[in-house]
Amino acid sequence: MLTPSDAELIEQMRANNRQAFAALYERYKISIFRYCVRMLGDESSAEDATHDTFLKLFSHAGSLQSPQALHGWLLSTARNEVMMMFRRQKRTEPYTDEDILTDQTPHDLTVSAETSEIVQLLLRQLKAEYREVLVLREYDRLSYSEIASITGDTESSVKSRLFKARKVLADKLKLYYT
Amino acid sequence: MNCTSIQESLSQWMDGELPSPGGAELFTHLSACEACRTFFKNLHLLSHELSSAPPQQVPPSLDRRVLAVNLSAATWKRRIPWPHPGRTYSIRAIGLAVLLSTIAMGFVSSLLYHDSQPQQTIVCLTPLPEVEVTGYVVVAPSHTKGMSQ
Repeated sequence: MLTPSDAELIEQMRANNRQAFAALYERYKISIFRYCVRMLGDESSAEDATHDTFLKLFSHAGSLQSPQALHGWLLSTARNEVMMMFRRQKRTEPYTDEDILTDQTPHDLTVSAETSEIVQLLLRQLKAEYREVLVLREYDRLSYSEIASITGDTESSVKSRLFKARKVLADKLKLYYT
Repeated sequence: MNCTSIQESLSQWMDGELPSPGGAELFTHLSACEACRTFFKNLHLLSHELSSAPPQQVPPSLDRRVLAVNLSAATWKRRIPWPHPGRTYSIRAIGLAVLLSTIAMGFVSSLLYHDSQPQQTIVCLTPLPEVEVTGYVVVAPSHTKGMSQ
């Protein structure tokens, strides 16, 4: 049996089919929750943002213009939720690149953490605007144009931010392993 | 190309977004530049570590909260295509537009009706001091000229 497309599930949702909504939630919950966790840094806030994102899907199902681009729409909605939380918490710029190694020395970290943990720590310490392009690219494998449509930037800006984020992280990683 | 632009191109290459002619120059540079090779190695390490992170677990409490929403209570804004292809208008917006148009048309037509009424004229046959008229133009007959006010 063929898996129904997003557009078909949206159409079924409009006919009050609860299972269609559950299927869409199952399809995208990991991507949306992961994006929220990576951006917000804690699971509790990420749970709220993900919940609100799917509620918006629920209430906008009747007016979605391009159901075939649902993943992008959900990520874009999740991004708005995250930004709203940043504003509420007055956390527009949680960290700066220069803060990355201020608390722990490379030696402390290499003793206490695996590479993946170090990478995750460094990722969390990136500015939100750099972190989000890296998350969308590395975890969701989105193209530059897809990322640009979610963040409202140009492809060239996405390319530039992605490079800068990688450059900072790669340079920091070099400190740990050379 | 300097090292910064080479490294920017390497980042694009890893994403499969580098225009095809750029590849050859990139790898010629890499074979000769230790700094860019190190950058490339760390870029790979970074990408590997990010993509090989354990799958994100979604808390069961989130599943319960999201799936508890009441589907039948959704207030969906159904949209209909009209009149331009590719554009849609909500029923609520159309209803509001019709209502406002009706009110505006009623207002304008009442003004027009009021203005188009012929001016009413009363011919005063009795001596003017005994008549109280408001809102009308009073025209006295010729034999009472000089008494009108």
